[in-house]
Amino acid sequence: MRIAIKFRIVTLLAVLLATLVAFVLIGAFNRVHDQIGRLRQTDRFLKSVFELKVVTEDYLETGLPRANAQWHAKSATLLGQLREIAFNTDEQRALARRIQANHTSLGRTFREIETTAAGDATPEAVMIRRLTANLDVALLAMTSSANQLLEVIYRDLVKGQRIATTVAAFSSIAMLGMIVALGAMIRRGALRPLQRLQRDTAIIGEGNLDYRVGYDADDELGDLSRAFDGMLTRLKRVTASRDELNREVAERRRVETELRTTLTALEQSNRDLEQFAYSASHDLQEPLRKVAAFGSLLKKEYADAIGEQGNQYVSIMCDATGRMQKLISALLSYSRVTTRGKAFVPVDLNDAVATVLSDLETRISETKGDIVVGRLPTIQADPAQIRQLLQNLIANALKFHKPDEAPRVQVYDDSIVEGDPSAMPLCRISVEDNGIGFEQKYADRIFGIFQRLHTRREYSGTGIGLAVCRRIAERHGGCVAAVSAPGNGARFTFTLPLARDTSQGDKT
Amino acid sequence: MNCVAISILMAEDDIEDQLLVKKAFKEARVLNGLTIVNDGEELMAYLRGEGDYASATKPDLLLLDLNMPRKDGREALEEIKSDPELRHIPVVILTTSDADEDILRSYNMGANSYIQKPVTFEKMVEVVEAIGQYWLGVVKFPCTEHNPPGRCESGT
Repeated sequence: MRIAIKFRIVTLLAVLLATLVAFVLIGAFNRVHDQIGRLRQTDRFLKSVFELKVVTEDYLETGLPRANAQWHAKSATLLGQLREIAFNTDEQRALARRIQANHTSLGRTFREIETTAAGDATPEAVMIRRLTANLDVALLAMTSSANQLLEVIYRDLVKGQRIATTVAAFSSIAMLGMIVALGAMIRRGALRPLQRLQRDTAIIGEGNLDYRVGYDADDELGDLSRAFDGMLTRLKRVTASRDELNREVAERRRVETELRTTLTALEQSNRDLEQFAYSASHDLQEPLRKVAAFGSLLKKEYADAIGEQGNQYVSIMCDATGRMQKLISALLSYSRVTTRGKAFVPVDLNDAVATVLSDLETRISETKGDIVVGRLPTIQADPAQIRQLLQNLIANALKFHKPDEAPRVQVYDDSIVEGDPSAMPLCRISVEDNGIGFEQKYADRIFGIFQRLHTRREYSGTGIGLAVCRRIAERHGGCVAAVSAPGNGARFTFTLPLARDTSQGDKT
Repeated sequence: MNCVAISILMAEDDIEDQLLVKKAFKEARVLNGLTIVNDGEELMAYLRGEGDYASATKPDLLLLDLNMPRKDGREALEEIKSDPELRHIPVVILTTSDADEDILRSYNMGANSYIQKPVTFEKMVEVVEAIGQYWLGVVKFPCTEHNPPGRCESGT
């Protein structure tokens, strides 16, 4: 049962008990009060009896009509007084009846005396004596009864007082008992559970989140206990979450440190690679240089001695070494896409293309090329590499023109506008030409290292330009692809993310 | 036309490159005295007039290769440019390397020019001609014992 209801019930009971006790006590003391009243009345009655006795003696002595009238008046008053008293026990009433009988007998005797006195004949002394004696007896009896009545009433009064006192005592005990019961109830129902709760919270406060109060009563404290336990469960969960988060943070930090270490290692590796590539290419170039230099010396100083064929042979050798040198340079720049990659910064592609066109000025005028550039966006990129990419693509477009047609190259923004807005924004640029084109089945192969679709005789070049383009695009997190058909020109499209989350760029 | 009185010293370890340069000088008709040393040690000995080179006179112009055994051109350059007796000699770096670090470091240490050895012989001849025109025709050298004033003027 809920504590509040218990309290209400107890309060109700207490009120009822108090009311009852009040009623009882009021009743008891009222009775006492009545009894005292009765006592006083009886006492006055007794006085009246004495007064009647006096009046009787007075009449007996004087015989005056005045005394007679007094006697009757007093007798009537006496009766009136007796009748006024409200008796409350049978004993009292019995006594009152006796008194009344006495009074009637007295009255009768008095009237006898009156009659005798009013008669003609002189009453006999003995009859007077008899009547007087009867009167005395009657008076005495009445006095005696009245005294008895007084005694009885007094006794009843004392009894009533005792009852009232007892009732008062019992009600005090009852009230005390009620208070004790209430106290016990509070203690059992509220105080002890609260103390228990207090003790439990102290235990929990120490850090033991698995402890539960578990006071499962169906009252307010039970609710409190359940709520508390619920809170503990949640707290435990939250703490667990927090611990988990801390672990995750520690793990992330560890991973971050690892990444940093890896990054440093990679940077070192890059430096080593660059060193190696440079040294290798440098040392490889040296013999080629000798062959080329002495080849041309040979041609110069011994042209006649070795003859025309001999000169041709020497030329072939020199050309071969020249090509080798170009290949080595090409390989070096291919490896440098990674080892010499710079951090990404905003690059306005319009400016990049303008620079490239300026660098290719000679070639553009030689081929009578016409290059049209559309509005291009700004992207996060390595500026030098993007220029390299554009240069390779545009130079190719110029190179592979139709024999009798001047190259016409278009560079434009080919981005798809619609699409998933939540996906990373991309930038697509196309370099389109009206040149000789190629079969689409080679569209992937041409991006391989040293891959060529033509003989050296037809077109010069190392076959590494497009490989470098692909490597640059991939370093930027993008890609490059080609679409073409023989005789229909070609369109090379590179796709790059518009923005990167780190400004450091990709050092791999 | 160049001033024949200007003496040139070249530090180069590669025999074939020495041959090519000598041929290029001949082809470019630069007739100045060209002395060759094989590495940094010999170079310093020559400049200081030590050992075998006790009688050597300091050159007016130095062509210096960077990659040499024993003591390379970088070290030699540093030594030369910190030596008050040798500092005044203009140094033209003539090397195969095109590394940015080499170029920057050379200029930082006081090299006067940096030339990458050309690949073909024809180009080498052009370079030597250019050296002749500039260093031996345009610029002025300080006067020394074997190059007293009056003996060499621009245009002579």
